[in-house]
Amino acid sequence: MLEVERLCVAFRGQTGPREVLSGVSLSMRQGEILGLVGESGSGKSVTALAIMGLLGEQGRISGGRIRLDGRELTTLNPSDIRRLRGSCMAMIFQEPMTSLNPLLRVGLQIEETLHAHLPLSRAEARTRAIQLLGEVGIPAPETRVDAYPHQFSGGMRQRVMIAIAMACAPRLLIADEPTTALDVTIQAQILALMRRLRAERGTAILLITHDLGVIAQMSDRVAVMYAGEIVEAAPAGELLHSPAHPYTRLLLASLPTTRRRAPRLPVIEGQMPGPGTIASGCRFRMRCPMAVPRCTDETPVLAPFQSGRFVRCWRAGDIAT
Amino acid sequence: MSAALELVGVAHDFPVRGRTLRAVDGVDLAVGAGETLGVVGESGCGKSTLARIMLKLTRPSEGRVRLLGEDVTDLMESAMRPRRRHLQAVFQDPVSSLNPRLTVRDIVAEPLRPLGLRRTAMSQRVLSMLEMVGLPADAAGRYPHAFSGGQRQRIAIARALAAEPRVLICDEATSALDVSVQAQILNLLADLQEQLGLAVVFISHNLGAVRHVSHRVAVMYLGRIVEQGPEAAIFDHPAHPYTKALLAAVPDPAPGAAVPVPLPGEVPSPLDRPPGCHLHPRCPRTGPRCAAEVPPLVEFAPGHHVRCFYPG
Amino acid sequence: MRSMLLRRVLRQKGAVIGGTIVLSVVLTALLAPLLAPHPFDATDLLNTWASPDDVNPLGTDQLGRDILSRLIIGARVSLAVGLSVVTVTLVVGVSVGMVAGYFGGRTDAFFMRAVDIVLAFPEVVLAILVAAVLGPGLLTVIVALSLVWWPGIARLARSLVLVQKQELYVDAAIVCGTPAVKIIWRHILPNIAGALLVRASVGVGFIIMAEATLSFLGLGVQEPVPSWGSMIRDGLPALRTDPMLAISASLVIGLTIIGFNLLGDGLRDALDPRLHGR
Repeated sequence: MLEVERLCVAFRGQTGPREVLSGVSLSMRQGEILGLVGESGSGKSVTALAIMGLLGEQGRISGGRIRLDGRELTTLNPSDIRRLRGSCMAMIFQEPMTSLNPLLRVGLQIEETLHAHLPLSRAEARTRAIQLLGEVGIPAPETRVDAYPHQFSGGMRQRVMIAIAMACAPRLLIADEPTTALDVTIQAQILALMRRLRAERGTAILLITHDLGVIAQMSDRVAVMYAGEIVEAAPAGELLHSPAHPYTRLLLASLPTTRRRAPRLPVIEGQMPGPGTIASGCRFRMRCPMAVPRCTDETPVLAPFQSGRFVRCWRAGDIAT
Repeated sequence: MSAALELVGVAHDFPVRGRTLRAVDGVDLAVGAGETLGVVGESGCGKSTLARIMLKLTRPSEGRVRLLGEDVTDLMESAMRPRRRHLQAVFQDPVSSLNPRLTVRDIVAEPLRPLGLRRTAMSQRVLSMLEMVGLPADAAGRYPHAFSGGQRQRIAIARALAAEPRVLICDEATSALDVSVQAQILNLLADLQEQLGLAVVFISHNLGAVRHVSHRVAVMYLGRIVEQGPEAAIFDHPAHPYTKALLAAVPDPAPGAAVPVPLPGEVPSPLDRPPGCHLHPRCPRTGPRCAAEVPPLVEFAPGHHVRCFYPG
Repeated sequence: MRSMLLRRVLRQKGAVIGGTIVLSVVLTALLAPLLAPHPFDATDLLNTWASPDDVNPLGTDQLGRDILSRLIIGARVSLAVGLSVVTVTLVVGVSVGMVAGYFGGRTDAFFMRAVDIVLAFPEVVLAILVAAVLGPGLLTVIVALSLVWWPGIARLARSLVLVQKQELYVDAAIVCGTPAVKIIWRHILPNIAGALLVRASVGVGFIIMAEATLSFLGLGVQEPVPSWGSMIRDGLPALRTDPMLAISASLVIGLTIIGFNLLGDGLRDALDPRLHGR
């Protein structure tokens, strides 16, 4: 349903364009939840914005293809992309307070999306808006539909965002850190809601987050990003059980968990390199405990690894258990 | 072991639009040297207000604050200042907690100024602090914006420890950091505590991080401590329904872990706290007493206290 | 940090133009006696209202004095007033505003009441009152304008301090045991200096305008010392027949104000969004 092939995105910088995404490829089937995990600077949000056509003035797609239901997105003009947004693909963000218009009642904001894509009368749209609010678990939707965003709590606002996003039953929902700003117990509710929507409507969800725990609970498959590239992709269970890329492995190991108290957390020394700073060779090699000369001399590619898995590492086979 | 920092019956009210918001309600806490007390809770639980009270940035409406055995609750700021060297903090935001216009040297040396050291002694101390937190010596002459979030937090830690305090309050010290950097800072804090014998209060909403650094843990909900005890007891044998729900809601990256079970409903606004036990509208175990009376903090197991009529 | 700021300022076209104008005015004022072709008070009653020619590039005024020379010397007056008033108002206004903003409570209420009271007076009325007490002259203008302008600066400083008080580094400084005065001076002031500087540079333009108004009303420097404002006053009656005096004085004032405004805008642009855009 969604196919991203060798996507490259460049941002305009003070000293020339900088490549923020270097050949990102991924694919999603209908009804699948793909977790895109990475730290800040890895390029995960940029990937989402590129798919939605929301890169803005500073960025542009400098290479690759994006196909949604067979339709090529990179060559569309802005008004065509706008027609797709909301109807075929939708996005929710981390901070619902800044994504919702504080001056408009939430019902109107839902109806706005409905009117943009569906031929509904005012009354029909309002009924549908109330219905949607109920579906995302907002109590007393008939009264809440006329409330303003600031009258909702953080979790409720995120539910409103989801209602707006799902209003026209898009095939693809992109969620960029949807629960990062929420309390843990509310996060659990929102994630449960998203799982339910996937089960009931068959919506595919591209879930972007830095939280490996969320990834573990939600995703069917996972793609790990580092410095503008995908370094590993695999079914969730396999990736978490036996990570093949050293970065994934270290990342998982360095997470403090509530299950037991580790004597000392393994760390990844150093920092993620900025865009365009590494011309060749593996981008993780400076921080990798398993680096060998080949990592500097030859740039690793995302290669098949076991069945259904991909890893970008020359030594992937050496550490997988 | 006498406590380095102690809070007794601390409560704090904020006037909000004609009503009163009780942000902290009847909190008793104590931390001793060489010990880390973790404080966890979600939004509205009062932990940020508690941090400010501990740091004497806010004066509590009720209760006493004891620093190194001395009651400092009523001290004026001028009297408090000489005592502040022993009560330091690392804050959440490494960007705004460091003055962007000062050099790292000036930032780290700040707690040393009231001590009247000579210039050379101060510079020496700054350099040894930078070394202790793993920063290069040439960092001293640079400005905060030249450093990453993790490095800035190290600068903040260097500043906090420069005057050899006995108490360190970490208010969401790792929450704004990337996952891989968080581990570095947690290790650093644990090492420093061991080296220096600090009493540490680690406030965070990240339960995994709290587990990793704390010896004892206090769980807060809507201004009250609902459970308190040794780290192993709280995480492995939680007795309060809220603690259980909190732990159950944390998504676990371990393969095959259980799917989080959400606690129904929302956290009520601190302005409208439910009567009796605050959790009763959402609690899976609520009973007739819960709405009528406030459960007291009782000892459930040695050193393990719970505020619930139906614990365990 | 400072060289970066300079580079950013230079990149702003407006700031460069404004800065050039301001620099020209300042240099003119400093070197006035050397630049003026004729003494400013040399009257020539046989040559009043002369048209521009080789001897008097801009012509002469109602007493036969060279307009160009008087404009050049007038720059001294304008600049002297502009800079002294800005200095006084910055020192007084920033101190009051910062103390009120940082300490809050009754201190804040007290100072802000004082600010409100002064702001209630129109500046011209105040100037007239001061002139009645002190008699007209340069000092009067400086005193009057300082009295009128310091509350605005105080209000600005106060609101800037209120914003900075929310920042964590202020809490951190308190926790370090730094006394309040040091916090205000070492921590907060450097962080608000930029905004204050912008306001000050735009303010100089307005102050020069105000000085011209006061001189126009006869409250400023007295004859024969020239002030751009009094020159306009002198030139108005003859506007139909010999406009050069009034027009040249007005143009010079206008250009100077534009220069300061452009400089102020350029400073603001160089300081604000780039810093946040890091």
